Amino acid sequence: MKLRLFLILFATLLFFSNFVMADDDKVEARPEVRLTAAKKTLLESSQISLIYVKGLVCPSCAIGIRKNLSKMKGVDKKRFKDGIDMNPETQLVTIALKNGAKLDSKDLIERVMDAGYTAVEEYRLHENHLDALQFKQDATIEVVHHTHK
Amino acid sequence: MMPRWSGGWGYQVHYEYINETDLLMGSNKLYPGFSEEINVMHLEGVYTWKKEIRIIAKLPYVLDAEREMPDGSGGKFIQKDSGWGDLNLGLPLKKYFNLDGKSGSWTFKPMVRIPFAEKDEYDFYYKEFGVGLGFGHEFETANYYFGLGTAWWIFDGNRPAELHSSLDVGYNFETESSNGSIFWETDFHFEDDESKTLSSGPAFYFNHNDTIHSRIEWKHDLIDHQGILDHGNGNHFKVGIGWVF
Repeated sequence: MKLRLFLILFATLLFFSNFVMADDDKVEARPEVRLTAAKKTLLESSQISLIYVKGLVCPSCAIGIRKNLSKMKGVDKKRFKDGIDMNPETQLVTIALKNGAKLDSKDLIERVMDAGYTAVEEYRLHENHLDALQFKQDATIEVVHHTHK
Repeated sequence: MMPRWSGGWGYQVHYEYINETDLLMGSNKLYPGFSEEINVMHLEGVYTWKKEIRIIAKLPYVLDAEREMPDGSGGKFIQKDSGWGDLNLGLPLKKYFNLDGKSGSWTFKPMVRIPFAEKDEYDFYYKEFGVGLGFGHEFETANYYFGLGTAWWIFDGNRPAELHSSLDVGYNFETESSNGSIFWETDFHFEDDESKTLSSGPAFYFNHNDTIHSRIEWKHDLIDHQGILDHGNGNHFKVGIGWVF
């Protein structure tokens, strides 16, 4: 009987746990925080690629992102940690690039997916506005102009 | 730490010290002060084929185990155990999800336990074939961790079926160059002979760099009820280090 009660309690906890932690007001979950951080990073750094990776909240779990992306052609491994900086609060991944290097988007999407995460978009500055190059399932890219200034 | 990325692998060693202070029958201290002390070294390995499928292997080695038992004439005698324990193999199947500011997984884990040594007079490990099924759910945000898990085991010999459940909550922190977590972990262990133990305590995890990780934990038995004459009311201490590649 006690075991049955325990199992019921366990199942209830399991069900409600998602609601307990799904707090959209948390700072790290707000898109405007990410966009502000993205713009600041792009203004302060050069020769980088800035990616929004959905779910990147735990640096230990996301080690695979660094391992996979640092192997890409054009990554400057001398900067950051093996060329990759990950911010779990904004879910932004900054990739240091060698002079004139460009990353293959399809390869990037697959490497992030292989690490267990989802690459959503890449940010760029365009006339002091933030543009997002959204990654599609077929690895094509759609440019979205964020109104964020 | 389990590698989430395809092709990731790792191994870890951890030392466990268990000290049970009384010999219990039900919740009663039938022989108070009759203790049991166990020193175990655990060797563990993991390989992640794809992020959804991995294999884990765990092999304990009992450095020294010693328990005090009643001799039937008011005194006590000591039984000892050492050597390899049972090999545990698991095949966790994971379903990950990534949300804005939150990531987690659901886990279904078939397991098998293979005895690795002959039975002795006193065995800390069961030394019986067993099969188990585990189920888990975990998720975290940049600051918090939440994990629930349960596993059910049945054995080939006389050992009663078992149910293990755990509830872990944690706080994630970052240092200048790395990160770690502080947890409060609670375990519930049930055996089909009506034995039940609820233990709880803190744990500390630190990610030294992308390769080396360490962890330390302590748990105390808050509720201990033994369905047969067995030791209980104990403390469990673990410290370990792991490498992932």
